Parts: sequence; C-alpha cells; structure tokens
Amino acid sequence: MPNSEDTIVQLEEQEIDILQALLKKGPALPVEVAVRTFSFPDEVAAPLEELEQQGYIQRQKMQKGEMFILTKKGHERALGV
Amino acid sequence: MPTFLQSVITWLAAVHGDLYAITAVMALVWAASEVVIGYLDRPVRALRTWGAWLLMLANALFACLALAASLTLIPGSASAWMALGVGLSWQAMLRGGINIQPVPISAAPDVGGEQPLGVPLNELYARLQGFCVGQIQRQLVGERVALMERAMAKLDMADLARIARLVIAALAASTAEAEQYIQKIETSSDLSEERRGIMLISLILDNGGTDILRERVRQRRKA
Repeated sequence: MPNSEDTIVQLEEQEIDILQALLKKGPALPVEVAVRTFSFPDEVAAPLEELEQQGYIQRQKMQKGEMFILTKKGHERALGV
Repeated sequence: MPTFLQSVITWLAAVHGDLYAITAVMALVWAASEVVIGYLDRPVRALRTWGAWLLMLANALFACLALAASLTLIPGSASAWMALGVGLSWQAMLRGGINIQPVPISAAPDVGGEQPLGVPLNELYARLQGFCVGQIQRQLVGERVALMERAMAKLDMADLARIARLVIAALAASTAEAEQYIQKIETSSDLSEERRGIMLISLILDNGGTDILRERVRQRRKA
C-alpha cells in the first residue's frame, strides 16, 4: 500500500510523462494522452486535471470531445525536464 | 481569349506580376516550412489543413503589400532583386518587429528606460500564427476522430490488435513495453470492447500507423 508521499511522487512522474508526450507528439485527446504514456484513460484523468489547474496544459473543447494542448508554461517545463 | 483574362494579364504585366509572384512564392515557402517544422511527424497532413493555407496565404498577401509599398516609394526599383530583397527582409521584419524610433547609442543596457516606439509586427504575426496553429490542430484531431469512427465500424478487436502489434514492431522504439500495454488492453475486464478498440486505434495512429489503418479499413470496405 503506497503512502501519500509515494503517491505524490508517482503523480509527478506521470505528469512529467504527460507533458513530454504532449511536447513530443503535439495536442491530444484524453485517450491519446493515455496511450502515449501506456496508461488507461482513467489513470490520466487526475494528472490531466492537476496539470490544467497548474497552468501547464489547456483543455480545448471540440465538436467531438476535447483535446489537451501545452501552454507556454507547460512547454517550458517539459523542455526543462 | 476572354476579355476579362486579357485584362488581368495586362494588369499583371503593368504591375510587375512576375515580381509579386517571386515575393509571394518566397512567403509561401517560408510559412510552409514553419508548418512542416511544427508537425514533423505528419507534415503533409498539416500542410493540407486550411489553417496552414491561411497562414501561407496571409504571409504571401502581406509580403506582396510590402513589395507594393516598396515599388511605390522607390520608383524605378522594379527588379527581381528587389522582389527577392523585400521577400527576405519582410520575413525577418515580420518575426522581429519594426522599430521606428531611433535608439540612442549607449554602452550600458537600457534598464527601466523608455520602451522604443515600434510596430509589434512580431506580436501580430505570433497571434495570426497562433490562430492558424489552433485551426491546424483542430482539423488534425478531427481527422483522427473520423478515422477512429471508420475503423471502429469496419475492424474487430483481433484485427486492431494485430495492426497495433505490426505498427509497434515496425515503427515504435519501446516494443516490449508496448506489447505489454497491448496485452493489458486486450485482457482488461474494466474496459468495454468499444473502449478497448478506441485505445488500440489510438495506439496505432500515435505510432505512425495512420496509412496502414486507413488501407485496412479501405480493404474491409471493398470486401
């Protein structure tokens, strides 16, 4: 059973993976973000929300669903990792 | 030859249409290269979007306006070299801005001083570029979603898993991790069949298998 500190570290790693995936392959649908990080859509939902709240990514509504794009801050963070 | 076409040709000859063509082509190529650099994994698809065409045409239009201004301000300057010069310098100005206030010569950097008066062409261009990039992204994602729908309608899970393995083996670097991931998707009881299909299709598209998937869907449609 992971303690809360482990969970935070794991989340941060996943967030970094997401940022780098968006940097490398461009904007993506939630399912594409999951696939790029070898996760399931449910597993990336929380990190995506967290990254959005921190201003690293932006959610854009589309006709069919939504896509996530890196903000300037997220771009710089992904490059700096 | 229709009169209208004749008058267009006469007008182009009078206004040095060849020079405008040189400047416009330079601007088109310049903007196209920016699109290609921005979408290295799918340059042709990105160039086909209307966002890319808007960026290229706007760039060409403004470059031609700059040439028209130059030819008007400097009479007798109409030449291919002028067209090339304006074409190149306009691209540089567009990305750097124009400073119309002389900056006083000084050894020390200007800290907290007055901001030079300038035309923020670079900011305007960045906004246009941002709008066009947004349109390109939307269209590319829309095309992926449309292909997903077609693939879901025509292919079953076994087909999709086979194509995913093929694409991963042929194109992707982390094959072992990807193979484990495909197995995880196939055997997951938490996901519906449709959800699993969507994930496999996403995996295929994300690893450069768009053409393979499109071809497989086409074959199925014919069969």
